[in-house]
Amino acid sequence: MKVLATYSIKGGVGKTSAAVNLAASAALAGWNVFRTKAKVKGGSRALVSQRRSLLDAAVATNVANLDLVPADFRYRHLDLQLHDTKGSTRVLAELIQPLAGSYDWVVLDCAPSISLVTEGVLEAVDILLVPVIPSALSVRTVDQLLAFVDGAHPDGAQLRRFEVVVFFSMVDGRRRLHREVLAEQPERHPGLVALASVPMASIVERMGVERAPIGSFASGTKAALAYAQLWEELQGRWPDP
Amino acid sequence: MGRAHTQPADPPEPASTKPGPVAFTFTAKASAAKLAARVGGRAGRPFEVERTWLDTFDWRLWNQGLALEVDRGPALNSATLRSTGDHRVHWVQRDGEVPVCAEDLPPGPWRRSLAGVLGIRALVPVGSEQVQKTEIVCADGEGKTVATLMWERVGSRPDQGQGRERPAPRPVARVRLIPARGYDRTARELAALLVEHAGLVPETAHPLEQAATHGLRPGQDPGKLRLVLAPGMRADDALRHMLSTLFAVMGANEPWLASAPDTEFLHDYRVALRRSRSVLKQARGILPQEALDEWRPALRDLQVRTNAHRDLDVFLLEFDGYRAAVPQVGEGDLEPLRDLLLRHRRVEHAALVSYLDSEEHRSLLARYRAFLSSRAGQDRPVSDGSTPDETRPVDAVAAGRIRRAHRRLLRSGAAIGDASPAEPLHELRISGKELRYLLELYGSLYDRAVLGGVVRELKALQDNLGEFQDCEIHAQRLHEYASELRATADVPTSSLMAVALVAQVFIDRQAQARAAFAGRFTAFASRHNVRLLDRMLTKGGGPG
Repeated sequence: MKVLATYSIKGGVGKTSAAVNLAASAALAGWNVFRTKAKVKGGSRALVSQRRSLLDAAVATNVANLDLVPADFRYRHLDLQLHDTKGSTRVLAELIQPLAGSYDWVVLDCAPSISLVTEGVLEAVDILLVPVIPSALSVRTVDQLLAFVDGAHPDGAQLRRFEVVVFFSMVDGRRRLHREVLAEQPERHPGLVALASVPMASIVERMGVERAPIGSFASGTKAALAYAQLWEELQGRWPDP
Repeated sequence: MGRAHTQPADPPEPASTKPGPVAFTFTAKASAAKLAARVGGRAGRPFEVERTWLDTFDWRLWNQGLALEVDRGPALNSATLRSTGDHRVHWVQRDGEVPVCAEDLPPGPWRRSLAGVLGIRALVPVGSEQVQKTEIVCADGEGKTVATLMWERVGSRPDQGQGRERPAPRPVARVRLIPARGYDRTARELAALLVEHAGLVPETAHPLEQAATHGLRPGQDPGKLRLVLAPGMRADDALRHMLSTLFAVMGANEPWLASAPDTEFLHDYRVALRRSRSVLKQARGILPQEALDEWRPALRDLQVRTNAHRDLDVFLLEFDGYRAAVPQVGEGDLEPLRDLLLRHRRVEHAALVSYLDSEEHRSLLARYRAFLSSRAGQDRPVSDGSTPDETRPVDAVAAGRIRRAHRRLLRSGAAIGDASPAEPLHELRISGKELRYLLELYGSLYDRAVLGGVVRELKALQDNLGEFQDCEIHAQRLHEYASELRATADVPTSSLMAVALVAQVFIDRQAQARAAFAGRFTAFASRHNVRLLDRMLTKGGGPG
């Protein structure tokens, strides 16, 4: 089982869209996929105390092989409850571990913050997938993020247990700056930056209306193909989760 | 291991009551459209598919509560692994081929789901049916699928109606309720609604139980001996029953020997053949001498035809173990040996297939079948004087034969010392095998728990003797193969050395087995075990 988290310090850069579409692509490829926004019915206190398992909370989606945990407003207190819990950063990893018997991929959709939950995610993930808008400012946030994730481990970057993959999101091909960043960044950061990039497209926003991954209502569009290509890259790097 | 079915004989309880068993398979007279309207679901387009159910010949998926159905049709190709209990989807693959062996499983869901289940066995078709299917999606108010109803009208199977009267088409459709994860309560409510308001009738049988082909029955391994003897039964009847049962096991496996999806068809065929020979060997005084004189050599010859093939199967099955045993050997050094083994196996397989397809073999089967069936009726031929024990009760005969075989084993084993050559150990192995077969063949006459204890002790001894002899054969054959490879110009010296190193591993293992023999035999021959066997034979007691 591989745990992939979509994460960014900034909000509104396409984390949830990536999580939804990549999870659907993985499921379509035949993998059993569990996607969660780490919001568990029954309240976060039961989650943190591990009286309730993520498996109990999983429900099927309309996509074959893909289950998820529905969003729950009660999760808002998770940070506070983690704060009161011994070994709090390990809680998420311990919650995810039992999923290994049922799922091949776990896709976590993280909130745009740096908190105890974030640190818990970093303890649990194998792949940290970071969407970045191809602007100078956003690219700098990647450096900040890398500094944070490497610094989060007392022994430094070499012992970081997960890999970071950056992909460009909300790309506007009409903008010169976007084109330039897209052209130079993969070469500057080989292995770090994915070749696939997701275009700015209204069809991505339509996911909220359709409440479904793009592939299920707009397959063949550039955005759908971009997510499929991104999944292919990930699958190529981790063929046997 | 039992099935995980939960279908009850009675209609499910109403949803308002406490959780209880729920039916997931029903029969319906209503059309898909009417059913969809009744449950407020959305019926999709109907598909015509040819469905093939896959499992190993010994039902490893079924025994894990799984069923793999492959639907092929003009508009739909899919493979779905489901729970047998509630048809819940474990995963589904659209399009693509279904791998059949664990070694063929590509990284991915196939390997994750099946590698640990298939083991040595391959997936083979175990059931088929023509299906017109319509999916009825039941969604909640937000359009979220909470359950799916699979409405299926089942036509005749491809293997039906050939030379036989076609079965009457089923007047009703099968409906399968497939709950979505997390919506179990909804599924329960829907199951109740289907019965109480849509007129569906719960079905206790899983669809595969109706679709099974080749005379197979889900969960029943055709290669496993299921022999029940009644105490007091005539000894000749009992032996004929044994031979007929073993012949049926051979018959179940023989059609698969040519295509050989895995090695176990031949293995099970050989075990049944070996057991048959053992029965015949013990049949002196019970079955006519004339018949024994004919069938003992005939079955031995048949067994001999399969020996080399099986040896090569074992070599190839264990091949990866060779590499692990000699880590100092370079990558690829053993490949010439593997190629040689594969070449030899191809030759042996072709020879076996050719023989099985021959008039000689067909004639042998026909005569053996006639021998078995001619004695099954009431018109018993007048005894020629060679069968004084034919009317004795089988339990009395069995006890005598088992005691005799046990005594022989104890006597032969006690005569083996540390300095004894290999030959007496090989003979002891054969004696152990004969006792084992007797215990298995007559096992239904005895208390199952005690029998299990006796067999366990014997098996420990047999494992030791088997290891001793197998290692010797392996080492000997490897030297022969090395000679053969040496005669081949393009085989590098490193490969010849690698084969010699593997042979040495077997020689060392044989020495270890030899050193362990005395302890194993002493344990087997202990007073406790002798008493255990004696108590079992004295008490009898049938399957406890």
